[in-house]
Amino acid sequence: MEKYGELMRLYNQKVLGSCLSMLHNRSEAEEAAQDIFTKAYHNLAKFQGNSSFSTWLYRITTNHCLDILRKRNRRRTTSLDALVESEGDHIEAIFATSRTALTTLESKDLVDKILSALPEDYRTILTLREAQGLEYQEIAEILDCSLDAVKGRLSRARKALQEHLQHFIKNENVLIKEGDR
Amino acid sequence: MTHDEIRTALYSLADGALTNEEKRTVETHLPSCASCQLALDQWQKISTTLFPQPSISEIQEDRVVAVVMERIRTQATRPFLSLTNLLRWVFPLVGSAMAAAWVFFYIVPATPEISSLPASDSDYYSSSTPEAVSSQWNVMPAAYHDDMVVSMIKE
Repeated sequence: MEKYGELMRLYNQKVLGSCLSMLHNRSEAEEAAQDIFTKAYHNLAKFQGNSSFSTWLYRITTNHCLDILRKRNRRRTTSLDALVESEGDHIEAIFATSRTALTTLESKDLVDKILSALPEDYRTILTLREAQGLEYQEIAEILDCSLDAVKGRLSRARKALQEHLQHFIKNENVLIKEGDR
Repeated sequence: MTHDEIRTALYSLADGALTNEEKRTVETHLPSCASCQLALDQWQKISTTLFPQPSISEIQEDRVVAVVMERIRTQATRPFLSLTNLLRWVFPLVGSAMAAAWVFFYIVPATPEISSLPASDSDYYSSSTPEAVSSQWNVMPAAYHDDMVVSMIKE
C-alpha cells in the first residue's frame, strides 16, 4: 500500500494538472484526482502492461473528467456561435489582458464557457496537446485512436476555435512584428 | 507544399510533428507570408489564454495523496458486513437468489411439460372420450366459452 503512495507522488502532478486543465476548478480537480487514484488502485489488476502506466492512468483521468464535464454540460449548453455573439466584448477583453491578469473569476468562467461550447472530442484533444503538451503518439494511445485521427482531429479543433475567436484578437495583442505585415 | 498545406502544417510546427523537410519549408515560408505569421501568432495567443499550464502547489499534491491513502486504508479494514457492503453487494445478492428460487420452485413446475401434451389434433380426439372432451369445455375460460357458443348459434 505504501508503494502506491510513492507511485502516486510520481504521477500526482500529471493527474492533478490534467484535471485542472479539463475542469478549470481547483477544488473539483482535487476531488477528481482523489477519485482517479482510488479507482486506479482498485483496478491495478486490470493493468496489463499493453501501454505505459502513465498512459493507462491518463486514460482513466480523461474518462473521469469527461464524465464530470458531461454532467456539468447537462445544466449548461451554449453553442460557440451564441457565446461569441453574446459575450463578444468580454472575449475581446480576455485576449487583450496579459496572462497574469487572467485570474479573475469572471475571466475563468468565460474561458470555461468557451471550452464547454466546444465538442467534447475537440476539447479533450486540445487540452491534452496544448495544456498537457503530450505527443501525438501518447494522445493516440490515451484516446485509443490512430495517429492520423489525432492529427486530423487536432487540426479541425484548432481551426474551429480559431475561426470563432480570431476576430476578437486585436493585432497589437499578438506577437507579430510590424515589418512582417 | 501549397499555401493551404503550409497553413495546415503551421500548427504541427509548434507541436514538433513535422519532418525536417516540412519544417524547413514552413520556416522558409513564414517570414514572407504575413497572413500565415498572423494565424500562427493568433493561435499562440488563443492557446496561452485558453489552455494555460496548470500550476499546482505541493500542499495540494500532499492533500490528494493523504486523502487517497486514507480511503484505501479505510476500505482495506472495513468488515465484510459493513453497511456499505450490505447495500452494495449482500442485499442485491440475497434478493437475486430469492427471485431465482421463486422462479425455479413455483413458476417452472406449474408450466405443463411439452411431452405431456398430445402430438397432434387427431391424437387428441382419438384418445379423448366424449366425457373428457366435455370436461375440457367446462374448464375453458368463461369468455372463450361464451364467444364460441354465440358464434355457433349465429351460424
